[in-house]
Amino acid sequence: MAAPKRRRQAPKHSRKSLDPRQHEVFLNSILENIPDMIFVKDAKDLRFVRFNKAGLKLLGVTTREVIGKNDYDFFPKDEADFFTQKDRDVLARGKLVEIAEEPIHTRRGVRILHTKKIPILNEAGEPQYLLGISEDITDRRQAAEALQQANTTLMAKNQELESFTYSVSHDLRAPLRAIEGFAQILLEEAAAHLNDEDRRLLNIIRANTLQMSQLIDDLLAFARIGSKSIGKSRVPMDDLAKSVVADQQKLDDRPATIKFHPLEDAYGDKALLRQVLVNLISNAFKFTRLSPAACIEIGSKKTDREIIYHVHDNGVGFDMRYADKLFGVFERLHTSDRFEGTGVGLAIVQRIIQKHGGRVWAEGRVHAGAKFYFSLPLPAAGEG
Amino acid sequence: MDRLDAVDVLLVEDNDSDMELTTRALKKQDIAQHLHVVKDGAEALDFLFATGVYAGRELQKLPKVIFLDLKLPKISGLEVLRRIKSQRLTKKIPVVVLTSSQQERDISECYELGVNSYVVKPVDFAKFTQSVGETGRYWLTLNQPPF
Repeated sequence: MAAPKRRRQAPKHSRKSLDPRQHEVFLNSILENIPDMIFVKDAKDLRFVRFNKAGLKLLGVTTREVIGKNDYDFFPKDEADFFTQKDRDVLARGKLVEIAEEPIHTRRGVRILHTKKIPILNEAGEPQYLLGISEDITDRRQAAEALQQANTTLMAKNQELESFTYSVSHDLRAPLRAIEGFAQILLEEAAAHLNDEDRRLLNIIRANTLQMSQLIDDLLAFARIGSKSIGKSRVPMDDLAKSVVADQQKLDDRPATIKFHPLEDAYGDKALLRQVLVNLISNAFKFTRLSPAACIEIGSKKTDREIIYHVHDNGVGFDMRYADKLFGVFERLHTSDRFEGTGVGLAIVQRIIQKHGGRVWAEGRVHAGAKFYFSLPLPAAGEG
Repeated sequence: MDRLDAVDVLLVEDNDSDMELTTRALKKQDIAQHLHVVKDGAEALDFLFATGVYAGRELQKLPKVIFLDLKLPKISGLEVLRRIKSQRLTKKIPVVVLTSSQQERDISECYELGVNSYVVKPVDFAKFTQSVGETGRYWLTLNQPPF
């Protein structure tokens, strides 16, 4: 059923231009309501003949104070000289001049203006008026400066962090190496004088030293991810996960059942996403070590906004009360004598996924397995 | 000065413990007979260029390999490496950087300057002994030196 055709006929009077009186009213309302300063000077002695509301407000003056006056009545001499020289320039060249940034002293303090000066010519082609339009860009300039300042501070902080990382990596390792090394030398060279208890104590020293060394390495790895920029491309998660599983199976000869559902491709940083899979899958292997029939399930699901990947296991699980602690640095829900580790792996997972604009979360129950999820946004149009 | 003219290995290391561990690792390979230790970058350069306390050492007698730590007092390891590799007299000496630093920046800068090996000191003593020992054995017995 077709709608009746509407005749396209505009009301007659709108086709005509405004009559001169309406035209003036119209222009005046534009002039007075526009947020930028607009002024008109006569070309001969550059006295103001027109000043709009925004201009009066900007300078903090009234119409009566400005009409008939010139720049020297309001501004310091050097500023007035500058304005006048620009005005003369515009009028002499008969062309628009744009001043990207000019400071101006007003009764309300210094403002920064972006100004256009336009010559208005009479019928004989001689300059009659000078039209000025100024936008107050003080706030924008200040915001840009604040941003610049913040950037500089941030860069300094980054530099500081980098040198801190450097000291950590270098200076903390040296004493550890000495403790470990000399404990070992003592074990070897004093072997004849040491009893079992002495050896046990020395080995505790060594084990703790190596543990701390691992902590330093993990912490550095975590810090590095924070400062690294990510390069995005299409990542075959299926291949990646399969190779990670194969690597884990080589390290671990228990017959864990792997339920592998085909994985959607991701869009992100391949090396970092591999790290995510390594950390989650190796955790699944680690925490099913005590399970009689270890089972690990890996899969993904695509929604209209994102892809959600999961790694489930039927291992020792965790108490949901502590779920928010899982992804914190150095947070561990198991003692290190049961399950080795420094508590950085999941923090790294979270950091990588957040850098990709995704989310991580987990569900679990004590002795009833853990389910880890991470989501990655679908590539935006033009990406991927 | 005779003894200083017969140096095979120059170890530049400011940390006494690391120095002792490195020396032990080299001794285990039986390659530390002609080892000389200097404790900062300035002393390393004095030794190599026979200046300062090493004035009078025969300039042409150069070590077969230099083990260089990066973080050193006075003159840094990177600067020492830069000077060694920019001087005609010393540029051919194999330099092994032996450091705790795994910073990509350090590694790439060292190679940029012409380092011959870059070895990260492991904390684990067994691995440390193996790394340092094997590196020493390689440069002193397997590698054909330039002089």
